[in-house]
Amino acid sequence: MGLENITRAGGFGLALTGMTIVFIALVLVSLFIAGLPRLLPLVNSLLPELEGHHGVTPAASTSAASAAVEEELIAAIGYALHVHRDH
Amino acid sequence: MEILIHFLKSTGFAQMELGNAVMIVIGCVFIGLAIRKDYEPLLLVPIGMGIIIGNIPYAATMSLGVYDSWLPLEEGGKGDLQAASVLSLIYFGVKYGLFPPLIFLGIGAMTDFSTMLSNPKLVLLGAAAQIGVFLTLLGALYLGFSPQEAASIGIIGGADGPTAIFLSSQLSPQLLGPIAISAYSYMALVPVIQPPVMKLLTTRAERRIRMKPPRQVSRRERMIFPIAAFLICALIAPGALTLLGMLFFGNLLKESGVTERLATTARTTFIDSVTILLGVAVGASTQASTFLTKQSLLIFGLGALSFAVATAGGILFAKLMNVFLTDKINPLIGAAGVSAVPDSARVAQMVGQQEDPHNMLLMHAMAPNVAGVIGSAIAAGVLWSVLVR
Repeated sequence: MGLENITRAGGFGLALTGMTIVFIALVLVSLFIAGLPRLLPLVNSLLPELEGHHGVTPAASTSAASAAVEEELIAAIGYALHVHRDH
Repeated sequence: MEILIHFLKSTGFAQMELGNAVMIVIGCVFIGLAIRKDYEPLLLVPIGMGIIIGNIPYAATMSLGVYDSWLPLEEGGKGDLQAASVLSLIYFGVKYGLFPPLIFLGIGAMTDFSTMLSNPKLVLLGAAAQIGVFLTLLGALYLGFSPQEAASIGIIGGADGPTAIFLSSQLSPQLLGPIAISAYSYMALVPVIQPPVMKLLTTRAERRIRMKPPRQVSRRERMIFPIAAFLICALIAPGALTLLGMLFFGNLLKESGVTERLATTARTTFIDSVTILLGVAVGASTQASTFLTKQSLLIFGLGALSFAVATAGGILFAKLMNVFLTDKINPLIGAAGVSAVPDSARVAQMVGQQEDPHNMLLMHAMAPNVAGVIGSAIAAGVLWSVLVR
């Protein structure tokens, strides 16, 4: 037990270096986020957003579409059954 | 009669030692805290039950515990796969650091980085809180732990259970049990540990500071962020690439808009399944003979210290930022930099509302909170790459 353990293991250097690296990484992330709104027009001009991708997620639209198809199918089966029984 | 006597000798009652009984009581306390006090029930119930399971004594010839491993004899195992206990197979995911990245995938799929993207300076609070990790590392070195052990203990201050498990499985697997239990216990005790530190380091006026509402973040920004942030962080600290890769991958699943089914699975059934396995395995690894040691007590002490220091680091850095900022930050949200998502953000909101019931700090606190997750993963990556043997 003692300060000697820290110095022998290079603890102060390790702690300082580690903290600095964490800060550098997160400062860079922070700078990237700050610059992102300025980068967006460039990205949008290179890769314009697809019409279908606005608002509703494809997964949701797929399930909504399949639900609509299912309803139509059930209605058609119901109608066919009704006609069949009438005859 | 002889068979009956032999059987009675093999029962848990006959082999029970004081240490096992103490650990079983601790397991019950964990479950009690989860049920009565609602402290991280999703973690404490599996861990508590795991502790109870892991401390039922059994005959040495039976393969039941987490340490009755499938490893070859020369690596301390029992030589063949049939000798492996079910618990040891589940524990494989903890021992080899498999579960933490999978949990990060789920966390990524449920994390909304919008508040962080709308106020990038709050990211720095997540970095400042990592001071707890590195000061605790020094404390552990001072107490005589090896650098690898000290790093694993220090990361408890990151307030991130999966990260703590990941790093200690890589650097000091012999301390995995106490470190995991300590990390998760203190994560559950965030509402108890943080408020006194927060009140001690802030004035009433500071706690009443209201912050501007965050700006609207576009879908494009949220889609670009996980890829760019991963590249920045992983290129600086490649040791963090497994954790951060899965975190940002999960977030990309959520934000891309084309993988909603995968994102839903990752943030619900998938993370829940892994949490159950991880919780039970970690709990079961606390067999009294390996867990009730002086080292474990020191780790618990250092863990509490690291949480308090990390909280203080975030708050004091917020106060320092306020010296230079015109739009002031409520320093309470600095405490959320310790990750522990979303509990520490909730604590910031709770303490803030004690002074001003209409002050909504939660969304602001989520920014340092998620930045803290990234920060602690980077810290783990740095420590791993420097100290790997």
